[in-house]
Formats: sequence, C-alpha cells, structure tokens
Amino acid sequence: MRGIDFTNPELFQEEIAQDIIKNEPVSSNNTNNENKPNKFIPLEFRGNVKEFFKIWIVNIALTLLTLGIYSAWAKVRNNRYIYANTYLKGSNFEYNADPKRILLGRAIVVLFYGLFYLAGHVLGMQELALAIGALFLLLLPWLMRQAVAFKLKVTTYRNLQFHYLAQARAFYFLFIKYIAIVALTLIPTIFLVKHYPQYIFVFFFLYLFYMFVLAPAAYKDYLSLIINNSAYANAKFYFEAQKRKVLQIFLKLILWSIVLGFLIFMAKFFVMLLLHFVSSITTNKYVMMGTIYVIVAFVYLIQIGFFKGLSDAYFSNFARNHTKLENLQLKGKMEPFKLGFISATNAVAIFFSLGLLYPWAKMRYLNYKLSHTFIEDSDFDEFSSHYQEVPNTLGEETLDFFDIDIGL
Amino acid sequence: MEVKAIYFDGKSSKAHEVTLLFSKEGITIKELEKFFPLSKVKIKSRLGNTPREIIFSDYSRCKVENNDALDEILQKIGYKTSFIHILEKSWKVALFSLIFIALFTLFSLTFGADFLAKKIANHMPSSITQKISKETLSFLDKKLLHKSNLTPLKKQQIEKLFQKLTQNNPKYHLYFRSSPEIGANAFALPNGDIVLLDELVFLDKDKKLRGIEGVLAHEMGHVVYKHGLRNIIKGTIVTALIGYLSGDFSFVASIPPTLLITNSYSREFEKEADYFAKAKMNALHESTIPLANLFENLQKFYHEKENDKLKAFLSTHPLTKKRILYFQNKVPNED
Repeated sequence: MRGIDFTNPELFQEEIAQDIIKNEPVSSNNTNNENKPNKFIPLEFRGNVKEFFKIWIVNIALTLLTLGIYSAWAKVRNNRYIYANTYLKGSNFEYNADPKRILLGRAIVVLFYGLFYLAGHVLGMQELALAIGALFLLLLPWLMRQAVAFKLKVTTYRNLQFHYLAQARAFYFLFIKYIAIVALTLIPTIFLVKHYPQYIFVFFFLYLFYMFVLAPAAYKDYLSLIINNSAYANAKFYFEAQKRKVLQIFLKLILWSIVLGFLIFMAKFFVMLLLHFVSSITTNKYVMMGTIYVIVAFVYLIQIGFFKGLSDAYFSNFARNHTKLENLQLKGKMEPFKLGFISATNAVAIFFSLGLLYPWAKMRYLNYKLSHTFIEDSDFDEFSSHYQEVPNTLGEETLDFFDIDIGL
Repeated sequence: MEVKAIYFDGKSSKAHEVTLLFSKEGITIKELEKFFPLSKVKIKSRLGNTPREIIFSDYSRCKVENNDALDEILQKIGYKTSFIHILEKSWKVALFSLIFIALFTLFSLTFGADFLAKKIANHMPSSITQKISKETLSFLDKKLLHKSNLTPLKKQQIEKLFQKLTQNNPKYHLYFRSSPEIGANAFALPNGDIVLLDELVFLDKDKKLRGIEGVLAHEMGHVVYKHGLRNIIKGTIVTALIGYLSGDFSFVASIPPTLLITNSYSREFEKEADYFAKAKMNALHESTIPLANLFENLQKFYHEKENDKLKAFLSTHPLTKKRILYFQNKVPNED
C-alpha cells in the first residue's frame, strides 16, 4: 500500500493558494494538463433535467403504488443519479447504499413513533410515552453519529470509500457540554429573577450570550466533530476555523433578515393596493381568494427560499474554505446572493408548477453549488485503501435516519 | 464481444483503461488477464446514461460509458434489461406516472384526508382538543375580537336559550364578543366553546331571538360533528402529504394549511350543521322561520353594503337561497 506523496508540499501554503485563487479564474477544462500545484479544480455536475425527471416521477409513482415501501429504493436511485453525475477530475462519485438498510431504518423510526403514539394517545399511558420519548432523546447523539457514518460509508470515489472515524461518545460529549452550559446559566438566572424581578435584564444578556457566543461555538464544534473525523481512503479531512468567522456569518444573516423583513413590509402595502384594485373590478369570491392566495404564497416563498439559499452559501463556503484533505485545500466560491436567487426562484417554480419543476430546480441548485466547489489540484491517482476495513462488512449496524448535511 | 471500460482495483485511486471481453461463461479483463465467471460479477442496473458499474467479487469495479453497447452485449449473453430502467427511460411511463400521481394525490387530499380526519377526530383526546380551542380563542381575542356591547338583559335572554339547547351540558360555553372586522357571525371551537358576535344579534328582529337560537343550534352541530377539528386535522394531513411529495423543498408545503385553517367550512359541513339545527329546533318545538328571517336580514344587510365587498368575502357562511328555503321548510335537506 502506498502512502500519499504530494509533490512540492511547501507550495501548498494557504496564502499562496489564496493569492492564486483571487487572481486566476479556474477553468474546468484543464483536467488533463500536467500537474501544476496551486491550481484549483471544480466539481462538475453533468445531471440532465429530462433524464432526471423521468427517473424521479416513475419512482414517486412506484412509492405511492407500494404505499411507501419503495421509497427506500427511490431514494437510492435518486442519490445514485446525483452522485454518478458529480465528477472530480474526470471521475464520478458512486453511491452504494443498500435500500433494504434504509427501509429497516425507516421501519424502526415508524415503529418507535407508533409505540409512542399508542402509549400516549390511545392507551393513555403517559408515563410509558414519556419513557419512550426519553429513550429516543438518550439515543439521539448515537443516531446522529450513525447517520453521518452511513452517509460517508456508502460513498466511494474511484472505488475508494469515505469513512467516519469518531465514536458515538464524541457526540454525547458535545451534547452534554452544551446542555450543561445552558443549564448552568439559565437555571440560576430564572432563580435570580424569581426572587429579584428587577434583574430581569439579565435575560437579555443571556440571550446575547447564547446568540452570539454559544451558538457560533456550538456550530463550529459540530462541524469540527464531523469533518475532522471524516476520511477519504487513506486521507484525512482537517477542519480549522475561528469562532469569529461563524459569528460574522450569523451577523450577516441577521442583517439580511432585517432587509428581507423590510421588503415583506413593502410587499404588504402592495398587496393591499392590489386587493382594492381587484375588488373594484370583480365581486367573485373565488377570484379574490385566489389572488390573495397567490400573492401570499409568492411573497412567502421568495422570502424563505432566498434566505435558505443565502445561508446555505455562507455556511457551505465556510465549511469548504476551512477544510483540507490532507494537504489539499478545499474552496467554496458560491455567491450568497446568487444562490439565494436560485433558491427563491426554485421555490416559486416548484410551487406554481405543483412540483413538476422539482427536477429542474434540483439540477439547477446542485449545478451551482458543485461547480462553485473547488479542491486544490493534485495527482488524484495516489490515494490508497489504507484506512479501509474489509469492504462491505456487515459488522457495523448502519441506519439512515436523518439527512444531515455535513457541508462537504 | 468487447467494450471499453475504466477499471479501479479498490486498493488505489488510479484509473486503468481496460477492455472487457464478454462470453456466456464470464467477463475477462483483457489488459489484466483476469477472468470472472458471471456468478462472481454484479452488474448494477442502468440508471439514465450514467456510467454503468460492474462490481467484481474482489471488490474491484469497472465503469462502462457506452451503455447501449453494453446492453446489447448483455442481452446476447442472457441478461435481461432491468425492469426499473425500462420504466425510467420511457416518456410514456413518465406520463402515466404523472397522471397516476395526480389522481392519487387528488383522491388522498379529498376522500382520503376526509376519511382519516374523521377517524382521528373521533379518537382525539379531549386534552388536546381543549388546548387547541383555548389557544385559538385567546389568539382571536388578541387579534380580531372585542368586548361585547350587549345589554345584560339581552345576554341573559340568550344564555337562557343556550342552556335550553345544550340542556346544561357543561361541555358547551357561550362567549359574547363583537368584531366589526369579521361582521355578523358566530363560530364554534372544537371543545364546545361557541362565540357569538353582537353584529349578528342586532340582525335578529325576532322578539324571542329564535333566530339566534337557531344559529347557536347550528354551531352546536359543528361541535357535535367535530367539523373544526376535522378541518385542522385535514390541513395537517394535506401538509404532510405535500411535504413528502415536495422533497427537499418541503417548506413549500407550509403554505396550504395556514390558508386552509382560516378558510371556511365546506358546504357539506354547513349542510350537516343546518340539518342538526333544524332537528334540534323541531325537537324543542321551535319554529325555524326566525332563523330563515335572520339569514334573509343578513343577506339584505350585505347586499345594501354592496361596496364593502371585502367584508362579504370574509364572512364564512355561504348564504344561499337554498338555506333560507330549507329553514322555511320549503325544501328538504337532500340535493
């Protein structure tokens, strides 16, 4: 087994890399050029809307026809299509999940929830329902770890696997740490204010502390837990960032939501004007109801869609720009406004086409995100299956419970 | 029979360009001089035009770009084209799927959701019903409802009618409110709280207020048949279904319910409540003519204020001629 031998490692220093990326536009056609260090190459997405539309709609029909059972197979085919159309340096990714595993995971969740509902609402055994709920909360960190590990494990590139190296206890530690901090600050404050109501302003400071100190720290710790324990073949991912950077994103997003709030306020005026106009030309209830519905939906979709795209761009760029695969720097160069625009128009298109434009929206969104994700160029032939256990072992129980996006 | 492929050994990320030779016995990787019998080979089902993956028993993997050539060869050595790919590649099947999904969704959203909502509403624990109702009332009190301006005498008179109707059943409570925003109306909450607005009381010209009595009986009907609860549950079901169908964009689905809940009862619910009201009034040997008169007054009132269309639009009870005729005992309930 060979290790990694990156040529000229001293040239991979971050400042130089950043200089280059500022000055040189990256072209996607140079994958066959000889290996120049410092060059960044993008991911490339080759998904086709028409092709994906047919796959998507047939799989939904089969899911409905089988009352949901086929959904696991449908998920695998959709993911396979997306992974297989994602290329890095001429090779595509592979999605290898076993639908039966996903079905099992879903069945367990349904069973869990069914028991919870049965105990609480039908049998009236509140204690039992509470116990099931508590058990679920206790298992939650473990479940999250399993979900992350599953997602990585079923992904291969050039037939080499991604892995997740952290144990569940790291997740428990993270959970307990932040729950403890919240409990140790909140409970004394409640106690204090109960006895001395004049200290109610302490809540305000506590709120600022949670919002601007604790939340950024928690987000950073979580990303670190995910990325620093991820590996591709024999290469590890490394994540390093300052909390300050997360805080900056939070502040930007708050600013954006103020701007969006103002726009919504303006939109309300517009709606009132339009309603008066409509009521002057028609008395038909359904026309008026339809107008209101369309306008409300439109404004709401643009607001939420834009904000989702915006924050996705900020957080994705952040994760990529602070992550290395061994020596290779990753880069995210998504423009938040652009991704916000794509996301908002996608939401409107999906809603007003009753979902039919979903494949188009999905391909468009992925295309933008992936083609604005870069990795420092190198000889990608040199990875080897060093960390890799025996492939396809059945030892580890993996369940696909939640779709957690890890920003990679 | 041969086809070009890219080979990855599973040990390193290096790509090898190879030629695969196919026979009825198995696959040979020409350049590597490796042979795998077909039983030791897994050929993944075709997915659009993505490179086809062939996985060998030693976990090495080949990718074939030319799907059509490979399909042709596979057919010759006895493989069948995967059924799912046949479905996925056809525009005809896509169209059928679309029609099927549309019909299925339509059916689920109407009959299916109605049926489920009825079942769930009947098993809803009263603690939840209570909570939903209290929250709704306090929300409305904050936003749209104001203190009632009825004289104590009138309130007493209506209370008495209400007690007669409910036979002092503690489930039901009557609240007096006013709301110029909503206009002449009354509504029921799932737990049996009934809100009566002054604006409606003023329209009842009957001395004994039997029109209001009829309205209260009608609102009781909504409670008895759990119409409000069924509306809310139906909204939830619709959201869940649309949420599932819209996948990643599930936030799109949070729009319908907000509008559904503010929306009025369906005609069918109104008819059921009317039927209940009439039966109740008949049992008490009360005439429903005053209720018909009240409806007529209501219609006239809004007709006079024709320019105020917004208010007419917001009134939830569809005042059709039929309903008036029904309470005048001129048409039966069926139609």
